[in-house]
Amino acid sequence: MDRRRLVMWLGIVGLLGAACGGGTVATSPTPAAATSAAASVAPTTKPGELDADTIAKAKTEGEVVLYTSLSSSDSKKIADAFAKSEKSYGIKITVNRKSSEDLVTQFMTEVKAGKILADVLETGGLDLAQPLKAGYLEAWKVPAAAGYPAELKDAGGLWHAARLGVETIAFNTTAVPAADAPKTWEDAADPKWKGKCLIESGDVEVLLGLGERKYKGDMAKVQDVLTRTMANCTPAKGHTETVDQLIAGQGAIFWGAHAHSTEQKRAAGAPVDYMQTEGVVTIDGPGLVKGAKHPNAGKVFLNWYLGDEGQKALSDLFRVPAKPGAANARLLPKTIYYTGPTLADKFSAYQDMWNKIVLKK
Amino acid sequence: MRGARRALPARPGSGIIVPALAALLLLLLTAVPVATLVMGSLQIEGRPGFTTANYEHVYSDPRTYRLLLNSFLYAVGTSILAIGLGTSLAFIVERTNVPFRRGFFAVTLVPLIVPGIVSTIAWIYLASGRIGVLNRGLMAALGLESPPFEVFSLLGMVWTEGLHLSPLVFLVMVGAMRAMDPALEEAAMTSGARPLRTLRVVTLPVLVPALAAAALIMFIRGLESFEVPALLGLPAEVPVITSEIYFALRTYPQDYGLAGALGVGLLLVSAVGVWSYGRLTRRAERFATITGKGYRPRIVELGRWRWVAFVYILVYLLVVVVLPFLVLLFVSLVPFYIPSLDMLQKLTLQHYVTVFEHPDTLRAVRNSFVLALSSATITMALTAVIAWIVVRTTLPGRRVLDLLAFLPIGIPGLVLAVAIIFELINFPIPIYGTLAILVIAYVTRYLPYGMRTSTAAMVQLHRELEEAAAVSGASWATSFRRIVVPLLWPSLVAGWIYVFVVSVRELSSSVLLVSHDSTVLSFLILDLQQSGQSNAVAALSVMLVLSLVVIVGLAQRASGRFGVKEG
Repeated sequence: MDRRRLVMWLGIVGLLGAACGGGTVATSPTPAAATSAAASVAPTTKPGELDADTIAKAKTEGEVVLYTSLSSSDSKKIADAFAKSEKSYGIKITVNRKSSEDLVTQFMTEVKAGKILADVLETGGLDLAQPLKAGYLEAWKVPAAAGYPAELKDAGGLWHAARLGVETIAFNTTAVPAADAPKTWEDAADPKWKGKCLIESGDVEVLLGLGERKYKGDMAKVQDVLTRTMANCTPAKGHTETVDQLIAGQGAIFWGAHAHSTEQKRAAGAPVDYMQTEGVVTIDGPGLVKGAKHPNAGKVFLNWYLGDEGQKALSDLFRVPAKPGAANARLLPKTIYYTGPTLADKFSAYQDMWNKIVLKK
Repeated sequence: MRGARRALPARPGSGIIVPALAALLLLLLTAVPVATLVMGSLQIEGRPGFTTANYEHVYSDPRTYRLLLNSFLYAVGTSILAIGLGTSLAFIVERTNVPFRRGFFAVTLVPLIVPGIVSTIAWIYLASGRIGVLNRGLMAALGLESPPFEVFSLLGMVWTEGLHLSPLVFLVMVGAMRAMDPALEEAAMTSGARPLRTLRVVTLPVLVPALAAAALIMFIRGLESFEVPALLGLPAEVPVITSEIYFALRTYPQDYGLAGALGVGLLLVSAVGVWSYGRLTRRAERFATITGKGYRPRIVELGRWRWVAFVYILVYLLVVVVLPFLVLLFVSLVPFYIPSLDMLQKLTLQHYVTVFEHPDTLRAVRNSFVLALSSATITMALTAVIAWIVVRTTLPGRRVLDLLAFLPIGIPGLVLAVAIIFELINFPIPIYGTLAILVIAYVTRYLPYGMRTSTAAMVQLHRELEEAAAVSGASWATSFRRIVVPLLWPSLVAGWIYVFVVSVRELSSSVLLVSHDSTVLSFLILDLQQSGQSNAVAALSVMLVLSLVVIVGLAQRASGRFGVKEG
């Protein structure tokens, strides 16, 4: 009995070590330097296409496991489109769908516990920063994304943008005539919105994009704009809940609204529209998982997803595909401030400012 | 009569094995997550070794105490409201001759099945100072200058959560009232006490364990509730501990250390509740009202008060069930919500189609049902045995079991899920990604609730019956199965329904543990909500409400046939 208890406790202690110790698990991949030198470029037969060797190996692997933060119904449609495509080569696709934070938490926990179940991890750019930093992603330049602009992919091929998230200021068209609607982010700081502005309580990424791209890291300026904005705004929880409350009349403008879902409501006839002059654009995209069970099948999926067919499938879902020219022009703002994994190290400074000014911590 | 306590029955065998296994299982379920929480709180991501820095950071900040105070006030207010409503309702429906009392049962439970996020939004649409339809209606009708209600306030939070929780109290108290021997009341009445005095001097005191358990459950539920503090507390600037934990786990990178230190604080506040409960019920024998004598709980004749009670129930149903349900129904039938009757011209069934066409709906409903069924059954079976050990035996360490079963209350669901993944991802039997791992999570999360219901019921049960069984040579298993379980049945059923319902609604652990095949309803609701389909969530909720009413109605008829309902 004593021995059994001892074994059990040793087991528990071991598990706790794994749970808390981070790098103590033997099977976790060694951190990879995010250098482009480590990348291997797939030899392609034609530009944008995969080589025969990768395709042959992928067919043998037979399956790809996709971890994605697309919604259930959207991820199902993407999976169906992939399955129907000739370029899937009969490879079966399995999807694990979660919100960005949950997906990355699950993925990181699995890898730390020594189990690599995902082949492709597709999520928000900022969320991708954690696995990138831990060295859990494999550098591979996707042939189909060769023509993507530099800010939409890692130079070494560790990640690529697949879809863009446009963050904007939405307004209730019953309460706000188009002429009075905000045209710039600073407009929300106008005292005329006092008590009429809602702000999503967790949208630090918008502030990060504005601070780093619009104000070029001038933190005093960022703080000033945010402080004046918060003199007008009340924090609210959740993008969907807040846009619903905006439509119902709880506020006149909504700082940090998702253009994608606001557009859906607008299209359904709701009295809502959004600023199209400028927007913060978040990058969502995939990376190939290091040590994946089906690396070649993962490559087949990535090349399909970032190529014409995958990008069209995204566009059909009213999403904003990253491939230049593939997006519905109405959905993209005229001036764009990109965020993404490269800004991850700057995040905590903006988080601190946000906590103080928005959440009053 | 503390001397009456005795250890396990004289005959070992099954008398030892089952309780020992239950205790071991309890240890396995709780030890790892609790240790993960505590160890996490003693570490800082990316730095080796242990540190108390998280605690210093959290507990040297005066803001933390404001959070704790807010959490405490919110939880106390919520429990007072829920207890007041739930208990009075249970008494009226269960023990009086109020008209149509049978019909109330199923309808009363409606708020239980409505997802927290949906009911909170319904109350925003009803009682927001700016857009609430109740405010607009009353202002127009009474010529008021300012809105009478503001849901974005501490009071609004207490109101929304308290109403939402009142059916749970109703359930627990119905269980306790069914198990009550009316001899004491009859004695009081015979001695000339009037009904109200009987109620105050006899009925309520006898119900103390159940009331204390319900108060404790509501208090804890209030402490750990998330939707109301997030949706109402944030704009109202009433931050509580759970919203703080949420932000700690939603920041980049996640701050498990901070979440852990806050979680331990939550545990300590909960411990105050448990301590108070222990003080209230420490002389268990006083409450032993279930004895060897046969009885039927007596129905109180209300006379002309009958109709007052009837109106009271109608008002309750109107406020707690009908109004939010109407909002929900309206939201589910319009393309988007605007507080205007013009929207009636735009009615659509599109959101119902969305729910039916969603690829996960059927699977999620089936999985949630199977999960809730198994989690509720396992939790109640396990806690009934553990409660027996704690209440009936003098074994050393029995209080530790009570404590262990309580600890999960302080573990944020997400932390529990991370601990479970670590614990079980490499388990020889591949249960990761299956429903089994969700059952483990749910049973762990709801042990404290099962334990409170089971313990409260166990102290009502006089030990003379088991002693009689032991003297007649019955084994532990026989006496437990043939005597303890049947007598505790109403309370166990109440606890079972409770765990069933909260399992259907569980989200914070499920978000990490579900896979494509093991997806659940709460996850589907989150998915719809996050993709902007809030009206579809309302449609799904309407369907859930209707199914619940049908299922509970049928169950009520069935249990009536088996004799549980008779009173």
